[in-house]
Amino acid sequence: MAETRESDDRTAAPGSAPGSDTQVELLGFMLADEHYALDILEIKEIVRLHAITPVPRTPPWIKGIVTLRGVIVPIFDLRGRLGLAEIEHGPETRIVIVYRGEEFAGLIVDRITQVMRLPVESIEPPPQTIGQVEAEYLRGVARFRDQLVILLNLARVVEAVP
Amino acid sequence: MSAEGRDQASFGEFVIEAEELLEALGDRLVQLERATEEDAVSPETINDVFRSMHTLKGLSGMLGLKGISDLSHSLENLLDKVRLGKVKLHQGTLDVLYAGMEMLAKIVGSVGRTGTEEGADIRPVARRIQQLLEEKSGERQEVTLGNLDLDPRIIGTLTEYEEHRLLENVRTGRALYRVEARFSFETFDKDLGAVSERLKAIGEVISTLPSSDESSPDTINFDLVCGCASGRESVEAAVAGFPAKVHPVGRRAAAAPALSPLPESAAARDLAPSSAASTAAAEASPEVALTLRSLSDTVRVDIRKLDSLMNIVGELVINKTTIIQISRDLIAQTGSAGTGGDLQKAARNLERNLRQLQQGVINSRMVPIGQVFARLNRVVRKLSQEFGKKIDLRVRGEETELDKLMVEDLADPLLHLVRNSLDHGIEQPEVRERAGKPAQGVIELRAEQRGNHIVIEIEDDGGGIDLARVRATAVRKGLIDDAAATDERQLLDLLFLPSFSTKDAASQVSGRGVGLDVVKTNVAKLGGMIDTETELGVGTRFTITLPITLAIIQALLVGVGEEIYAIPLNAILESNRLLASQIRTVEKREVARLRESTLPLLRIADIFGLPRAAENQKMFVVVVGLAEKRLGLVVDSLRGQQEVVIKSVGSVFRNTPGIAGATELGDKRAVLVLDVGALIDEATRR
Repeated sequence: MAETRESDDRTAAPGSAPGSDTQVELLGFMLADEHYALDILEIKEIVRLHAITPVPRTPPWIKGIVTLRGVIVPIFDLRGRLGLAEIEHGPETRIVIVYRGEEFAGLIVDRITQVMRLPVESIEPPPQTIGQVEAEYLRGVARFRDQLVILLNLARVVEAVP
Repeated sequence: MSAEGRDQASFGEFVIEAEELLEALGDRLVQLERATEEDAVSPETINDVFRSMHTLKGLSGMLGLKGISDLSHSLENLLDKVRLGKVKLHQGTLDVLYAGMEMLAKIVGSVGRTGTEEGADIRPVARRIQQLLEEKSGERQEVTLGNLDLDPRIIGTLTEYEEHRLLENVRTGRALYRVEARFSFETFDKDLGAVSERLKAIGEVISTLPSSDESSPDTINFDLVCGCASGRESVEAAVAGFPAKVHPVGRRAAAAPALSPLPESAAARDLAPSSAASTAAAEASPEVALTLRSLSDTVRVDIRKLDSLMNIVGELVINKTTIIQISRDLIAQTGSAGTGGDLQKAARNLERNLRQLQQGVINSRMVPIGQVFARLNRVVRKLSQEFGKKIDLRVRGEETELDKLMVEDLADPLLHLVRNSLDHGIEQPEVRERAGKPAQGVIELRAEQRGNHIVIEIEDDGGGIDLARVRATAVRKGLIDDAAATDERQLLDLLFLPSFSTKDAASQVSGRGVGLDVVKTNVAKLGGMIDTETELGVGTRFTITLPITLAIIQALLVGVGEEIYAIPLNAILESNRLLASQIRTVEKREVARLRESTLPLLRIADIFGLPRAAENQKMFVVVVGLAEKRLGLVVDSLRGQQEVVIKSVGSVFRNTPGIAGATELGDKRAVLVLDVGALIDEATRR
């Protein structure tokens, strides 16, 4: 698992060091040709897509569950969750495993791009909507190398099934 | 760690320990109450209560929890007086002890939640304790030590407590014996322990004193004063084989003037010629040694540690399955003579060991359900007073063991059912007498293991449930149609719907709104079912059926379309081929004739939104049943049994019915475990 990142040692992440120019580290990924990002501290690891067991009676954006070293993890299709059109999964599709309180959740993304480091101040509040994505799922927007990057509000994204 | 953090951590430890102590105290009080009624109070029990209270006082004092330490101090005082016979143990005393315990539990709870003793007013309880302490013990002791034919030197070294026990033995008609034993210096501690044990088996060892005979330098002599209901022969038989002589202690016709009235024991000890060593020996009686031992052979383990052990065992089970699969593949390729056969044998051994390991871990999580029953006992006492009802709470099968986590989750549902019986079931005493029943109502709690299930019954001999009224209420609330035909079972099921309540003036005890529906939900969460039987005027019985543990189960794997599901084997009655010709439709529901009975069917494909198999495909029915309810689950294929470790699917799916959890098969694929209780419910409600 070359792409597995263990970020258990979360306090040691450089982005969290206090100071006047506080930096934040973000993991960037693509969804429907837009750049999205999550704080690296919210992420446990990244895994390749493997057999997902569907769970009946759930909304279409819940793809089901997988087991990750013995732990059951629910998998969200991030496109569907944000109201974007779902697509076939390809070779670049990845599951971003995030912390969800004491549990975990997996988010299916089109492609992982890069880890970005930028000053906290550069993050601006989100506009009402971006494309079809509602503001409630967004935490902010930032510019990174002339790209607009959309930060997700993770807590809202991985809410329980209604 | 900050000072605050440290405080919280130590309070956490304290709360765990205090709760355990209070729990044990509660059990002991119930024992004491029973023993008081039968006039067979064991001094050991009082001592236990006294010691636990002393420990609690010490613990809380160290942490500066003043309310708890003050109250436990007062209670300790009271118990000391009870121990010494200065305060008589009667219902009033027990009431105060119970009240004190409840107050302590309340403060401990508050410390656990908020880290403070907030809102603790111990004064009312403290006043009641004070009143009891001021009451003089009703009975005068008609026997005094002076009447006894005991060496004044022995009497002089008795502690106040030992004096009391001595007199108490005389009062209850036991004969007193002095056992004079001579042991060698090398082995005396072991021998003395053995003799004490044997004497305790037939009576009570009141005091153990080294005697002052110094004729032989290699031996040490002891006088054991004991009380025993059986004759001298039994005492002699008990110490047979030991160098010991038995002397009956007679009564003197007249009191020796020097010893009457009774000397203050503390003063007497100081004046007695015996050395400090003898006092120490008297205090370090075998009783103390026993206490130390019982403390050290129990280990308290955080349930989460056991959970993680259980997870590891679960992983091992999965790995074992993988190994067995590999051995099968090998045998298929190269035959059973080669490595494949050896691997299979090794895997079978591994399987056997794993099963033992698994059983061991499961056993370590098991606790007797009596823990919960004891708590209920206290609640019943309190509530029956509030309601002016007389209740005899009977308990059977309290030793039945259940997973610790389940026991905790059972406490609330059981409490609710018992309250329900007390509030709605048992009638007021005068109503009962008019109906020709004894004024005292009976609530019986029974627990019993039946195969892989635990069955808990809560039965009362109260008024029963008025089904006509249930029906009327249901119609009024629009739950059923007035014209609808309803049988008893359907009406009883209505009771478990949210906010159904027939009692017109809902008391604050059972409350309105939160009712039997909560009980049902909680029991369902534990993979169980609840059943109700009632007869008007005779009583009501609730039966809860639960699996023994939630952690590792045997499951039947079934296929539906491309999916595989696991069904807990303990809920399965049988599984069969199902022919399309066996299916009938009755009132828009599918049923099957299975031998002599009609079985309602539920197609997993339909309820889970999967495509139905083609008409000409094979079908199977898995008959599941919990308690009295049965249901046939229609599936496409049966894929064999397997041991599975049930894991939570997590809070994302908390509102998804029909799923009890998930498990991992040997190929690392996740498989959903069906919640049979919920499916049966769903089928009956459709």
